Amino acid sequence: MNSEPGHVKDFPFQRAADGLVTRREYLKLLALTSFGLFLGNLGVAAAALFRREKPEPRIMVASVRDVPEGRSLNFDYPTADDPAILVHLPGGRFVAYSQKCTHLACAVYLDRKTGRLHCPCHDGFFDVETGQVLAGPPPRPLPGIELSVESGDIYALREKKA
Amino acid sequence: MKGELDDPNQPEYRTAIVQAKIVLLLLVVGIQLFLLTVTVDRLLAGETGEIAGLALASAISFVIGLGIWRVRA
Ligand code: FES
Repeated sequence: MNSEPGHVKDFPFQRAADGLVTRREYLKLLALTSFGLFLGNLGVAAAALFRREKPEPRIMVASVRDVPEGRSLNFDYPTADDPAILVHLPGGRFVAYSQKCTHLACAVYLDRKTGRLHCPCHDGFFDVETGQVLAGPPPRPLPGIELSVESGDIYALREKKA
Repeated sequence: MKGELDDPNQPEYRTAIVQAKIVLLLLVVGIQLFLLTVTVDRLLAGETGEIAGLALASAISFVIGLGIWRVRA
């Protein structure tokens, strides 16, 4: 009868043939890893250098009367692939942010009960007046969008620089 | 034995150096890993101002790591 356990037969392991990693080989591996990480960092730097500036179109978002105080409206800015949210703050001021949560890009919405922007995916909360993170896992504030109100119409002008 | 680590021809001496090199290189790799995560974070946040400095720090770390690796044991 064969006393070898099943897994040994299925996955034979030749200890003698399995090469040992010497300290020197390990050192070489570490040096290579260090080189790889340096290249990675260089790659990110190059990506940042050659990153195309996003367009900054001036678009009409809505009429002031379309968004009552305490309400919000979704729109796209600067391109059709960038969801954004416009909020009419109590007191009359308008603010707008990218709607993509800075954690994992779920869409935030205005929680009218708490008056905060809420990301339902992992319960992230943002201050509706500033876009700053109030609670939850988002690592950065919501990117803001500059607005101007001209003769009753609200225009998105550009993304606010961080 | 007394003084055995003072003699560069002793295997113990060389082993100690190789081990020290491993620890130092691990430290360098750890620092570079940290630098890379910060760089990616900055890129995603659109704060590209510090990225060149971070890449330079990674390059310096790599050169230090290379020096550590090439030191004779
Ligand atoms: S995606 Fe918004 S909190 Fe996680």
